[in-house]
Amino acid sequence: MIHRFQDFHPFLTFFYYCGAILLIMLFQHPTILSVVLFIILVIHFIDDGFRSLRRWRVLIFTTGILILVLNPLFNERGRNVLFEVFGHRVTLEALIYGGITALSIITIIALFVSYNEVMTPNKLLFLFSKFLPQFAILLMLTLRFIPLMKRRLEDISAVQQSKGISVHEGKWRSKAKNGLLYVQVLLTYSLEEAIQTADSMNAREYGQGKRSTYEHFRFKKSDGIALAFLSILIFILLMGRFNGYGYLTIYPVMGSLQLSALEWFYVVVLSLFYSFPLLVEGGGYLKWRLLKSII
Amino acid sequence: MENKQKLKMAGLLAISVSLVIISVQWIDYYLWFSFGVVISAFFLFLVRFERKVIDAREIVLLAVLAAIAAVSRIPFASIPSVQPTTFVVMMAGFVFGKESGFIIGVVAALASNMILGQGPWTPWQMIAWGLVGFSAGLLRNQTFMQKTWGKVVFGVVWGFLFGWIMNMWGLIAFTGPEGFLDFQVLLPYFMGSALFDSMHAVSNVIFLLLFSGLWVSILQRFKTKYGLLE
Repeated sequence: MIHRFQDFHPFLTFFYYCGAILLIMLFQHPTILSVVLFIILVIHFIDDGFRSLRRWRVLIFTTGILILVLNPLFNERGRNVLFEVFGHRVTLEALIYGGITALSIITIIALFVSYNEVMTPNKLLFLFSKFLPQFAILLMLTLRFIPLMKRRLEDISAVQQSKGISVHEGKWRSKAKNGLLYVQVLLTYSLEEAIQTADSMNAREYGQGKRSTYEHFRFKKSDGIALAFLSILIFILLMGRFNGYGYLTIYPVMGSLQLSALEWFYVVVLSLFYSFPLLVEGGGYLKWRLLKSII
Repeated sequence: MENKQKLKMAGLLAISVSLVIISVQWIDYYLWFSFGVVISAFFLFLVRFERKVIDAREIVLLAVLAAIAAVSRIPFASIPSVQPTTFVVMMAGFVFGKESGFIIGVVAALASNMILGQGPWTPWQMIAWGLVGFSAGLLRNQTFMQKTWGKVVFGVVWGFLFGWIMNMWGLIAFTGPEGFLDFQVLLPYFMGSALFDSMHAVSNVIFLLLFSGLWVSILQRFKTKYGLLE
């Protein structure tokens, strides 16, 4: 069986994404961020050929371009003036600053898209149920109620529309009023039902001892090894960052855009961290080929 | 009892003063610092919730209210930037108290994002709606909140405050942490969101004027009938 990134323990996947976001926020350097973005794009490509990313392309492009344009527009600070428009100075610093923020926000959105693919709600619920069991059951109940309430809202709107109360026509004010009227009907309807749900929970021994979860994830040896691997990488990177590497100072004087040899080392470590899903996938593929050739 | 209250207030004051001093001292790191404070406050809240014994009826009630707050956006899909989630969370906090209000706001934001897809805005929404419920519960016994004008002012304030909290993540994204110190950047950004914020505020006021009396009595009746979340 090919071991995939999705098959790791939820704690490990969550750890990877938390670390990934933290590192983006720490390593604010155009070259480094470009490398990170490239790796995440590769992950997306191998995963599903950009299918999930494509739905977000409008958001990604508009925020990216907006940030890139807005920053030089508002920000005049900097020593290297590129050109002047109507007495407004456009500086290299502002442009690079905008570029860095645009890159990091695009990278973070891309990362979240992959997070939504890998970290399904049931995994998040599993994590919550380990650390915050009461909050987890509340969240689980809410998630269960949302589709139920949607159905009830449809029923309510069918009845109300037959009485001539609609949210689709009329003035803005009356639409808002009717909309909340629907919600109010939903409220009184659901409150009484809630007591029934609670009583049936009590009948099934709610609150007697620890709750078990439907899907059980076991923390395997491979999870431990992966956790150690990622932790070591993060530790190296944090040490490097606190010693001042991998960060472009822009104000008051802009640092060099070139990366030093030591900083390239950190770029390699960073790439190892981000390409962890790729390494897992590649390792699994190699193993598969090897096993096949033995046969 | 009186002394304990005073001691608590003094402790809170001391913590806030030292926070201000520390963030002025290390101004370069003030953003990280404030993130740290917000996140730890948030987790303290969750741990407190975790340690309370809540029976099945209460937890189901909280879930129903959070689900209604999340779902109530649906009938309003045709009207831009009008959603009654804030109103629902406000009413819940007003009747069931600050802690329940906070939890309902947080869960409503998290659950609706779990269905619509998470993004960098999720934590900000959780905190914003959580604080809506929390402040409604905190102020519910004040005389002005019993009156209609008090609730209206509260709704207007939150219409804008909610937008500003949500602006924070955008501002960090657009200009970086330095944007907060630069008034020239801050002003146009907040002006730009003012239109949406005032829509939010106006819809809050309309909902509060038309429905707050009814909703409070519906929830209050339910609360006393079953003796929940006293």
